[in-house]
Amino acid sequence: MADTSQERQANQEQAQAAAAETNRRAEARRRHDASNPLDKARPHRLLAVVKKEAGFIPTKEPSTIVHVWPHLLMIEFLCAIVFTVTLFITSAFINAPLEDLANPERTPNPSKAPWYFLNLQELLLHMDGGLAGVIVPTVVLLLIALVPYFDLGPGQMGRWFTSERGKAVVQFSAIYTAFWLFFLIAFDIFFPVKTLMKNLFPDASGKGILTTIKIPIPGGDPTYEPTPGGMLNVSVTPADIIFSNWIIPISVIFILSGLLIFLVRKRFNADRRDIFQALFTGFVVAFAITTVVGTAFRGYGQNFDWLWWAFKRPL
Amino acid sequence: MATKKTSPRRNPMDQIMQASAAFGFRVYKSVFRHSWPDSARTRSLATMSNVFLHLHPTTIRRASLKVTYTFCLGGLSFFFFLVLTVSGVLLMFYYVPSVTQAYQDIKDLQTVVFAGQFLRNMHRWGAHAMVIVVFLHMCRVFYTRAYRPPREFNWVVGVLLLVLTFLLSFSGYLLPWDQLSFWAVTVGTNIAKATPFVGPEAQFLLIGGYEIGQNALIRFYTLHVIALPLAAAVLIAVHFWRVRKDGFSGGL
Repeated sequence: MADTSQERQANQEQAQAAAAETNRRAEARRRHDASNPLDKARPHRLLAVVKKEAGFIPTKEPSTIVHVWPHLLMIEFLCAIVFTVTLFITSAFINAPLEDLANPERTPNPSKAPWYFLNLQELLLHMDGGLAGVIVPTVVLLLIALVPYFDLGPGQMGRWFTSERGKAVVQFSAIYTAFWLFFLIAFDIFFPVKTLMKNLFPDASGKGILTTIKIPIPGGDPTYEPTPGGMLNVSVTPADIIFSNWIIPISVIFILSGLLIFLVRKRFNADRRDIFQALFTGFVVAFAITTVVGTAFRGYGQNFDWLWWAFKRPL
Repeated sequence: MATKKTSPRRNPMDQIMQASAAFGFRVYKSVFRHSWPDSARTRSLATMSNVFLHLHPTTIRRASLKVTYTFCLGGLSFFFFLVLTVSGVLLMFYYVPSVTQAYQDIKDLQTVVFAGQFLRNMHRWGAHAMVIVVFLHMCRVFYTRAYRPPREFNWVVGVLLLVLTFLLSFSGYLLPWDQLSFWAVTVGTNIAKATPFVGPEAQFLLIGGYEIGQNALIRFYTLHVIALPLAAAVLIAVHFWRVRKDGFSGGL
């Protein structure tokens, strides 16, 4: 009995203490709200205090950051599967070309480089070999490599074409380059610049061959075949070749690039990043068009041939 | 005695099963060092404790996963590099870089060797695909401006890898020693001859003579199967390592 009375007493004390605590909290809340009127407008309120274990502990990662396993690896894996299957199917049904045994005595007409160099071979038709095959690609690759060191203006990274304006600039540059390239190729087909220059400088072309002068190499080996007698052969190019193979092509490249920069600045108020995008787009479109023309539309003697692709030149 | 008989610990079959499971788990743990990656900790360990996967960071921004941002082009370039390495090593078993034997080896590969034609097709179409994919990867990085500091130098490494891709493809072009490869490489190396000042010397260095022959074949073969792939592998390692250190560019 003593126990029950003690228990009852303890229960009463507990209930009183709980009520006092509730009153104390309500009073504290009232005082707090009165002192801080902005808090009355808050959209949330304390409903209950629960123990730690009973609450919802979020186990999901924040939605902006995910683990590479499995999220990225799954994409890479699927991508690899899709392309493995595609490559297997392609290889099962399309055979790699193999022609007759190599024969140095029998030159095929036309002789073409692998398709990814046919852009250079196409350039070769319109300018000097050194310019088309070595100088232009080297300079272009160097300029491309240097882009990040000069594209230091404001603007974000990680967005296609940087801005809506950038997208418009790229579209404009693509159309601009395609137009000029088709025009230039057509112009050179119907009005061959080399012939035009020959007619302009009849004396220079009359010699028929390039003039060669010899320059002695200090310490040159007389028995070394490429430089017979220790002399370096230096070709002196006639004026018509200088114009048709060097001056005119270089001028065209610079003038058309300059005009592109001028137009995108004037038309789109382009910043530096947009100008780089315009020039890079010019390169990509020129690369693509000269590759396609060189692969599909250059036939016998590298003459333009609308139907050359139908002969199915092997890749 | 009766309790001993009914105890599962004494059942020989159970003992074998338990021992094998324990052994299997020990082997698994010795390889992967963590349980199946289904928690934040084990998922991080899956990336961190694996030499191949640790080229990735452990976590990544969801925005960087967008396929319409990367189109997987960088990964695909590496994928084709691996495909070409594997198929190329298999092709090396059947190919001798000699002007008297090379062409016949390719013929044998197509007619005698089991799946030889398929192997050769995979190597050729994979090579074309790699050239295209690497070029497109460059365009993607340019148009998303992903070369911004601190990634400038990795862009330069990427340009070098593009050049190496062209060279790898071009050096392999001569190897079948048919009319197509012979004259394509003749045209290609004639372009080198047009280099100002050192043209003929450059061409001579490239083909080991004045015209394409045995010297050119062995040079192209050596470049194709060891020198250029090694150079590419080193630059790929640098390229990946820097991507790993600088983070993915997407979704900023």
